[in-house]
Amino acid sequence: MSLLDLDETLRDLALAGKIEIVFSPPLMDVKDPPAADVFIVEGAVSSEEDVEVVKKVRERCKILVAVGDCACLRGNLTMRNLYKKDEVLKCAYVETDSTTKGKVPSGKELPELLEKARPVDKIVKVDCFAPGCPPSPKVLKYVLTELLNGVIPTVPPELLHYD
Amino acid sequence: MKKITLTIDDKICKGKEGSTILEVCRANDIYVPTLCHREGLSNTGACRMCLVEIEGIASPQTACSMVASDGMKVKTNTEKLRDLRKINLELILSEKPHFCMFCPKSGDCELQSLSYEYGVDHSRFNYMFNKLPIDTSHPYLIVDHNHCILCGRCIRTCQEIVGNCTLGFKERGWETTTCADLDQPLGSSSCISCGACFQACPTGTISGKFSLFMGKKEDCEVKQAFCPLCGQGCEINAFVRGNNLVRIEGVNLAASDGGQLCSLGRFGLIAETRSRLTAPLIRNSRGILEEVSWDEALDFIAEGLKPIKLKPNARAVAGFISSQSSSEEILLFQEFMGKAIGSKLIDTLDGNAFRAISEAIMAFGKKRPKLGIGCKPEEILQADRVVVVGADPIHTHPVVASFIRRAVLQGGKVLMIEAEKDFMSPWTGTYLKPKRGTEWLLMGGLANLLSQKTTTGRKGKSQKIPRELRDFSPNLVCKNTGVETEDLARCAKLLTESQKVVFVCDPSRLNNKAIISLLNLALIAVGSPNAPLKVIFLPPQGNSLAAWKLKTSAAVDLTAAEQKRVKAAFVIQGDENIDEVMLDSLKSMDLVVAHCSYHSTMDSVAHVILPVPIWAERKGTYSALDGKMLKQPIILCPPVGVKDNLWIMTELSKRLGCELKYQSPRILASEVKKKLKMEGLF
Amino acid sequence: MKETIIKPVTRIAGHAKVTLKLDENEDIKDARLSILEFYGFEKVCEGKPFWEMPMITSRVCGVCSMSHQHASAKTGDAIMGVDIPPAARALRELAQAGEVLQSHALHYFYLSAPDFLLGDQLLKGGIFSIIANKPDVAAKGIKIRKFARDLLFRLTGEGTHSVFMVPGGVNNTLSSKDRDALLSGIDEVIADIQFALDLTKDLHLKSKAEFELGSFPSGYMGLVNERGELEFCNGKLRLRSNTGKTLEEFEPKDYLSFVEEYTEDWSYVKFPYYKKLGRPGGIYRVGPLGRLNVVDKINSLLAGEELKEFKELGRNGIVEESFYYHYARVIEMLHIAERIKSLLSDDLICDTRIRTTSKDFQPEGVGVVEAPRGTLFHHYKVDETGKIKKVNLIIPTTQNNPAMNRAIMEVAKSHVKGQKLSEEFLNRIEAAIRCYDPCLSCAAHALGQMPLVVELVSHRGEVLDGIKRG
Repeated sequence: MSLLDLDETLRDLALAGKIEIVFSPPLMDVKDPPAADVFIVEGAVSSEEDVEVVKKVRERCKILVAVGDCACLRGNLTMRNLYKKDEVLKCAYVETDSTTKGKVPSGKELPELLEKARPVDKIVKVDCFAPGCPPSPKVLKYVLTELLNGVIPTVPPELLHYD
Repeated sequence: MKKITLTIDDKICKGKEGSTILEVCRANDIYVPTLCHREGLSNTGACRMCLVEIEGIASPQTACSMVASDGMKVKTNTEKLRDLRKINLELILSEKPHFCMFCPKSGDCELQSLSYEYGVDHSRFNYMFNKLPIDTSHPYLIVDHNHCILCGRCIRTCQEIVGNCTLGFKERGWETTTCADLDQPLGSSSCISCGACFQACPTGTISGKFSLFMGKKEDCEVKQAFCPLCGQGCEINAFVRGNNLVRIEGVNLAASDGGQLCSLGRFGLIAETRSRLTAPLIRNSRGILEEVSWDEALDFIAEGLKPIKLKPNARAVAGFISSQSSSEEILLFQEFMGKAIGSKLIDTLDGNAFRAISEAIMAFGKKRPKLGIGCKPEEILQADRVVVVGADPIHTHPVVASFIRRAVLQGGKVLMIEAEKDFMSPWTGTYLKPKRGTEWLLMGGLANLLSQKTTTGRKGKSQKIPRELRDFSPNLVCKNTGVETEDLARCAKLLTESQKVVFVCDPSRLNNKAIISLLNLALIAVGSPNAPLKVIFLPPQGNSLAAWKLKTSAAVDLTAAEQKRVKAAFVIQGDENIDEVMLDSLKSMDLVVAHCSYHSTMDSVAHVILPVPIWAERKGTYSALDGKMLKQPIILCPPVGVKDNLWIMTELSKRLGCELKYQSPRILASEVKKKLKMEGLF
Repeated sequence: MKETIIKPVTRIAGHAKVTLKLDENEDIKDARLSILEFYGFEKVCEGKPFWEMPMITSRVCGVCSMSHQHASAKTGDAIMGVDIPPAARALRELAQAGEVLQSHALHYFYLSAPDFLLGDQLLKGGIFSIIANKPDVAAKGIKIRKFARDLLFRLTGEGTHSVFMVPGGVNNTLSSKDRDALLSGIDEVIADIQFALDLTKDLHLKSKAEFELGSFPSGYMGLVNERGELEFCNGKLRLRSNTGKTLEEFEPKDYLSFVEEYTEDWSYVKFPYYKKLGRPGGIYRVGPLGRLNVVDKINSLLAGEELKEFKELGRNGIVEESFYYHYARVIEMLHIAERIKSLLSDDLICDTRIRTTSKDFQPEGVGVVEAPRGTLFHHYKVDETGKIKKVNLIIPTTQNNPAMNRAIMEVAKSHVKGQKLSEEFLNRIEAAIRCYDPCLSCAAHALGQMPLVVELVSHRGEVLDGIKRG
């Protein structure tokens, strides 16, 4: 959603043909990550499927940008690491006050959760980190601009933030 | 002090001998990052952020703890050092679950700022995920160990500035955390709730419950002011956002208190849950207080006063004012009562304390001791013996108590004389418990013994017991006070052996006889009749000294005989509770007008209640315990419906057909300045 | 059974997978919407002080973070047993309105506009196709979102998850300067929303059949104020049946007597039902369609009139078809914008008394608000010092979970013939889900990044068609 908060910047960039966004599940109908110059990944790697996708994405792109505290450092998704995986699942699906005859979901459709959710750079190499919860539009603008100038950016101290 | 010269980052820098490298850097405007260092505290070199390279020494050293020497060549910002600091930050961040996104300190956190400065956007280390406890037992503070970097600033502040030694470390290595006492919840520990640790904490480990998420420092306007509650006059920085108080902080290294403040000053306003009065109230025919307009209220008062004033008796209307009021308000009230009401019956709510002291001094006649404001509270720190008489400074004057504790930590001793209980426990060395009302006798007995042992002026020869003290023979004293003779003798001996004795007393808990005895004892202890007495009278309220100096406290006797004559009263209340005796007297009057900010016990006796600003909403001058005149700015705007005392008394005066000479705040302020500049309190 | 897999379901916030199970006759027997994200929120909050909860819960979701903060702050109010000052109430309502406006605009213009404005070949580009092909529509969306974000910025001073609401009130006042700036821009926003409304009504006239997507009877739930009108922040909860009869009206704190949740093996999101009717009869819907079905009046001039017109489209004032969510969403946007104007025009909004506090805590509290997507419940149990013992959150999208599954089922029934699946069919399935503006991050209390799959599975369990795009 931070990307969308860039609103006009994004629109102008898109219209000027400078960037072509080829894969963005929340925004577009393309299903399988294609090859691209830059891949922006957000969120921690939390399930087996996440691991697969992140590895696939790393293979198919030149520059991998990790965006958001969960992907770079330590974010909400990693809060569950403070507990055992089973405790967390049981609390959510069996123990809450409004749940009737609850059972921890275990269907084959659902991906296996990792014991601990991890930031992306612990699975694959990351070229650029843009932390924040969420990263402000300014940070994303900076990163996009640098990338468009052919530079792999490092977010400078004055733009860096974790909250 | 000898000067030394260093070369820091190829710049020639001068410093004082004995300084640390960090101190020399700061004196020369060279920035070195720190986390566990704090001005005013000892240095421990725990955080390793201030590592600097020194020529001739293989590994980097901590600038905060290494003493600088002449000729040293120092580098503070090489690439190696920056890398080490970055690794250090990544290690600190990986050790505990530092979730910035819902931390109350985010944006004001020193760990976070340093991490931004050193570009920490990920960590090369795996994060540890150990869940640590959060202590919410304290009424004002939360201790969340998940953010703690073990810098120890809280511990050192609690020990070195506040002197309470509540906080410490427990366990070792990975398991180390801070704790209170022997690992008690903070709320049931020896913590005195001053919040100095909260202010010292660089991260979100110790946070204030009522300030949580109310605004970062950058969202707030900072008002430099001081706390007027007890007379210590602690400097404060008030953080205000949109006319709401977010946080009150002390000023680090301030002469008044070292920045520690106390629970009342720091948290009193912010944690206030009493409901505020925002409209005048009149008691209607059914006996219930109902809201009215200001005009109605003031007209009612004027009407009510007419029949009372018509009586040719200037003793029909009395006025009581809290010594929490500003000097301007006190002066104004005197003028109002004198001119508009025509009454000389005016007193402060702590008048008894004043009378106890002034009558005691009068009793000395021509030999009256040089009191003035001779002893500043900080002198307690140099004392090797502190005599606390009838006082509970830990609760009434916490900063004075902190000086007493620090004196003990430096080797000093406390002698406590009090009938109820040992208020300074566990800091007291010797405790004498006379029967209530016999404190004067006990101190007389001590003075008697002391006068025999002291060698005032004449070396080697013992003194003759002064005539005034001859009746205080040890046997008589001990029989009537209940104190053992050996204890009395031992105390006298201890006092003789002391080099510097400071007396701390609470005049609101003693009568004039006790104070005469105290003054005698102090005179003998100080050794010379001309030296200023080391006696600190703890003022009952923040502006008592000014109120007394402005001669507000005449004797207003509300005994049964007088009660029939006093028909009306004005009570300008502060935060103090009105005692039962006074409430009873007020109940029998025809008209009681109370100026209050909150609902209180006055609700049960007043006929009219007028809403007035609280201390943070008033500009004014106050006199601190050490005599300094302090100017208070306005910190907050009062709620709509509240009027200040100048407006109220001016309007009332008009309705009573007269004009006050103090028409504006400016005139009032300059008059106050004139009167308070006069020497001598009594 | 054959299964068709649509993976990922796109243009929704979060990750989902649709499984269509066929029986021996190759008719669709079952449609399941599986949510693959898991966060485990309930456990990780244990031991946290309740004052931190607004900040923690606002990060459950990026789009409706203010709603979570609001519900959490209200829960905190209940735990402290305080009534917040009137100015705080007004400011909270203003912030909530800002978020609903932002979210509805996001959904309408960026996420669902492609569904009804573009032909299938352009659908792939989503918002970027809208920008390219319908620039005037895109421009209005951008403007409305910008206003909403400006409103939130002036109140909260920051970005998406900034703290503003705290237990006992809010932490910032609105200056008269900011208030005037906002008032000067609101009329244009109202006009832009009316444009969107006219567009929707126009499309409705032209292609009514399109709107009859995902129609089935259900109950409806939403907050109502003391006059029974549309309400987002306070008041009671009302539950209505598909015939328009009011079944229940209750205080939020009594929600456990009326709502119960079930779990399924194949999804991380739970299935709430109206307790007295249980599963499956107790299915109910929340969100724009739910809220408009539950009320008879809206306390805004223009939106009030639009509601009357909208109600004509249904039976007994109840509109059932899922696609009408989009229409309802725009009516809500209009009401919200009018409400913003009315709040800004009252001087109370600049009053500085914004918080009360208390030192005594109740053992539990419930806070309920209407988030953009529907009713949001926060329920915390605390110990005597205010540390969380137990957390229960019921998210709007979770409450729509049974309905979304049902909607897919309805779409599937009317479209599939034999085994071959068309792009168009899959678009309809997705469109049905998208009506509910599901926020799957919230629903699984997670933030996810993995795309979802739709599978068509035969009665023997083999995967038949897996339409995987790209």
